[in-house]
Amino acid sequence: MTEIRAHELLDEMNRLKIRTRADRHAYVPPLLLFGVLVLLAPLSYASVASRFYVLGVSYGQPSELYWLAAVLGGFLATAAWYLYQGNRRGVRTPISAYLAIGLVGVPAILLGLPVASSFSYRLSRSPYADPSFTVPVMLGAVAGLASLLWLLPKLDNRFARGVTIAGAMALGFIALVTLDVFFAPARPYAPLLVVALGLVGLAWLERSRLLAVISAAFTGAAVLANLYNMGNVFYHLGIFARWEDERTMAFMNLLLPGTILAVGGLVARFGQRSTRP
Amino acid sequence: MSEHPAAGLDETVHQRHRLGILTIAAEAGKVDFGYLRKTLDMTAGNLSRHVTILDEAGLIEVEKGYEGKRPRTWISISAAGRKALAKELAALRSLVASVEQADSPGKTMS
Repeated sequence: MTEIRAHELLDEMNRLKIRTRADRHAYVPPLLLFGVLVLLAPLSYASVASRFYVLGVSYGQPSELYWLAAVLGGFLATAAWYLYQGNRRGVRTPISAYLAIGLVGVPAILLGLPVASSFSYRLSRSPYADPSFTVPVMLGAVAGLASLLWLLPKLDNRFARGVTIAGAMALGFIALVTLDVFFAPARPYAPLLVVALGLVGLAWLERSRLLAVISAAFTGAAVLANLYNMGNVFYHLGIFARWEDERTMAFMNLLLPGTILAVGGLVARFGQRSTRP
Repeated sequence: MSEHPAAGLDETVHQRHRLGILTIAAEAGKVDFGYLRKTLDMTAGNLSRHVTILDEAGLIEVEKGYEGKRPRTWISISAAGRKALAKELAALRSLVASVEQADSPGKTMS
C-alpha cells in the first residue's frame, strides 16, 4: 500500500463519517417542540390549592402537572421522532442514553417536589429543602454518578455494565430530586434542568457542535431562571411592575430559556437547509 | 528498529468497502443495508459478501427483520469491531505520518 492510498482512504472514511452524521441529525423538531412547551408553561401558573393526594403526597398544582406532561411528552415525542427518522433515512442515532435521562428526570420531577412539600406546610421550611441536607446529598450523588460513568466504558461484562448503569441512573435520580428541591423554595423551574440535561445528552449522541452550543446556552438560562428573578430585569426596563401575578412572573422567567430553544431550532433548521445538498 | 506501521493493518478490516461499512456503522447506532448500499455505491451482492465477512469475524451484528411486508436488514458495530476500526485508522494515520516524516527535509534515515 502506498502512502497516497492510505491518505486517500483516511479522507474517504472521514467524508463517510461526516455524511452519516449529517444524515442522522434530527434535533431541530425537538428544539422547536421544547421551545414552544417552555414558552407555553406560564399559562399553567396560577395560585390554586392542591387538588388530590396520593399516599399522603399532594399533587395537582397546574404547573406541576403541566411540567410533568410537557417533559414526559417531550422526551417520548423526541424518542419517537428519532425512531421514525432513523427508519426513514436508514441510519439510526442510538438514543438509549437520552431515554435513560428522561427515565430518571421525569420521576424526579414527579416525586421530588411533591414529596418534599408534603412534609411541610411550606416547602421553604421543610428540612429536606434545607441546603444543609440538599447540597451534601447532591454533591455525593454527582460524585458517585461521575465515578460510575468513568467506570462504565472499562467494563466488558454485560451484568456488571447493567448494574453500573442502574446505579448511575439511581444516583442521577437522587441528584435531580435534590436539585429540584434545592431550587423549588425560590422558583419552581427545576424541570428546565431536566430538559437541559436531555438536550446536552442529545448533543453528545448527535456529535453536534451547534446543538451543544444551543444546549449550553439553554442550560445557562435554565440555571439563571432558578437562581435569579428575571422580573427585576423587566422592571428596570420599565416593561412590568415590580410585583406581578404568578403567571406574568413565570412568563418573565421562562421567556429567555424558551426563546433560546425556539430561535436555536430555527437557526439550526436554516443551517441544515443551506449545507445539505 | 521499530515495526513498520503497515504491520498494524488488519487483513479483514483493511479493505476499502469493509472499512467504509465499519466507519458508517460506528457513527450510527444502527444502519440499514439499503443506506450502506447507496452511500458506498455498491451492488447488493457485493455488499452482502462484505457484510458476511465482517459478521463472521464478529466485527458487526446483523439483525434481519420486516417492515410491513418488506424485509429489512439492520447492521450495528460490535465492541470488537469498534476496537478493530480504531486500530486500523491508527495504523493508517501512523503510515501517513511516517511517510510525511521521511519526506520532510533534514530527515536522517535510521
